Amino acid sequence: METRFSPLHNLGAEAATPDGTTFGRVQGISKVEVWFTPGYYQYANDQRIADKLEQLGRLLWTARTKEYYRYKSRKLNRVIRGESRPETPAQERRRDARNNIVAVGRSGDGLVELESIGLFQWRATIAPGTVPRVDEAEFTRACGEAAERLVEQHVNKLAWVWAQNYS
Amino acid sequence: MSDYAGDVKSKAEALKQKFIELELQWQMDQIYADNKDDLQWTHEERLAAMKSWETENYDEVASWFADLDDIFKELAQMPDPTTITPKADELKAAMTPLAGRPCDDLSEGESYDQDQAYRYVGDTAIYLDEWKGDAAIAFKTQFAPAFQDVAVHEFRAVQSLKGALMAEAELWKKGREDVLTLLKETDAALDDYEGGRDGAADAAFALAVIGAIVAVAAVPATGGTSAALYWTMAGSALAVTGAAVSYPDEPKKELAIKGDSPHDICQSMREAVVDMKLQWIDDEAFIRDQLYILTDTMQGYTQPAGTDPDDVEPRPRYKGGYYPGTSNHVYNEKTIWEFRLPRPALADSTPGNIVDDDHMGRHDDFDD
Repeated sequence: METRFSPLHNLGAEAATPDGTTFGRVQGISKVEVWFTPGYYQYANDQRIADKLEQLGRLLWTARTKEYYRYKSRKLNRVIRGESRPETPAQERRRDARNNIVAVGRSGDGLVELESIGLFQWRATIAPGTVPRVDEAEFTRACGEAAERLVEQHVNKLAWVWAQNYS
Repeated sequence: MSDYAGDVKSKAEALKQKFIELELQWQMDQIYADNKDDLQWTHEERLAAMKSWETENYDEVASWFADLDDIFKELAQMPDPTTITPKADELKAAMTPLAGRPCDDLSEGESYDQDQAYRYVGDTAIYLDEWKGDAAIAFKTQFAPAFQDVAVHEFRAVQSLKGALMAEAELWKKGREDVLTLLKETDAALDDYEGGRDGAADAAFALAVIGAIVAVAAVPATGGTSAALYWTMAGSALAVTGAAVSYPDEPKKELAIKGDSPHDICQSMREAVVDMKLQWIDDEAFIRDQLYILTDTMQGYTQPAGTDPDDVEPRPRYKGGYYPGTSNHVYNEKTIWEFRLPRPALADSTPGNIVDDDHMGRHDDFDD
């Protein structure tokens, strides 16, 4: 969604995989950057990088959610940790629909394809033989592009899902 | 103090825009609900579709939120507490000379030393031991002994006025805070909606205005324990005026702004504004009643000892008078004299009796 006033456009969050090899940053609604610890990409293979991207996607979204609640707590001057439990069956159905939004994003050059369910479960597909044939800078750019498209699709679907009547 | 009115105006304007935009999206999503293929739109396609829909329907949707202008225009015009506080401070000048004994201003915990003028008042009767006559007797038995007590009671009465003004200032100060909080909370609720989130479990926020005025406004006529102590110390019949404070009603302690759609959230906000206003009306009525009770007391009307704090109330008024017999107030002339000195007999002297020994009195040396 696109509103001029939304603070969501100014939020940023970073995350790293627990092994400290793969890093990501999300800025605003959908701008995503990915980078690796120096030397890692050269010696990795397609599957390993795909695993890291799947892990990173989940962590990045979690970090972004945390950042949102941190922002909100600061704004309202009281601690807000997250959503309440669904108060009505309709609300529960609506949340289920939200958590099951499937979004796909593919880089323009077709190197990377990402898919997510509710932004919490990720699947990354890398064109066979990409790593380390493709230059690292080009690959990370492709990751960013795929992620950006995925998030845009997710956001579009979310707006629709969120506006439906579930009662 | 920052520019409250400007603040509210600009924030309300931004909020209204946010409502309109999100509602436009919501409405559009309803229309496209049947065609799920649209979910595969790219970002650009969606924005383009939205743009054309928005152009056609903007005015209609905007009109649904037009009332927000009036709501916040009114809230932006709330009284300025900083103009009320100086009025309360002006009363300090009246309290200083009324401190017949060392007095504490319970409304803000300030101590007043006994005014110098009262230093020898208590001993007046001794100094004037040899002054005899009607005027002398009246002065020595009625006027002088009550002098200090009455002054202290008047001190309390002025303190009550001051407390009411301070409560009024506090009410609007907190009220303003609440308006700004309301704007922020609504804004946050819209953020949640936009980000596809439901409100937090603790979405309710407390109104700052709750209880803000009780501490100061209730000091005067009803008083806390310490206020009652003052009446007692002053040897007053008024010790009976309940030691417990009746609190103003609290219609809503917490407000929550939430909803599943922009228009639901807006409705929830409208209701919160009404709840907030009801609270202010209640608080204003509470302050007014404190002043009425003080007036009643000074006119000799008090409620019997042991009246339930919740039933402590002023005499029912209507324009220009009172409804007789509709409350349990008891008239006692003595109460009036707690606040007022008897008219000195000397004041009624005429050229005919001013030199009359029986009236003006004379020094004992001239006896016989």
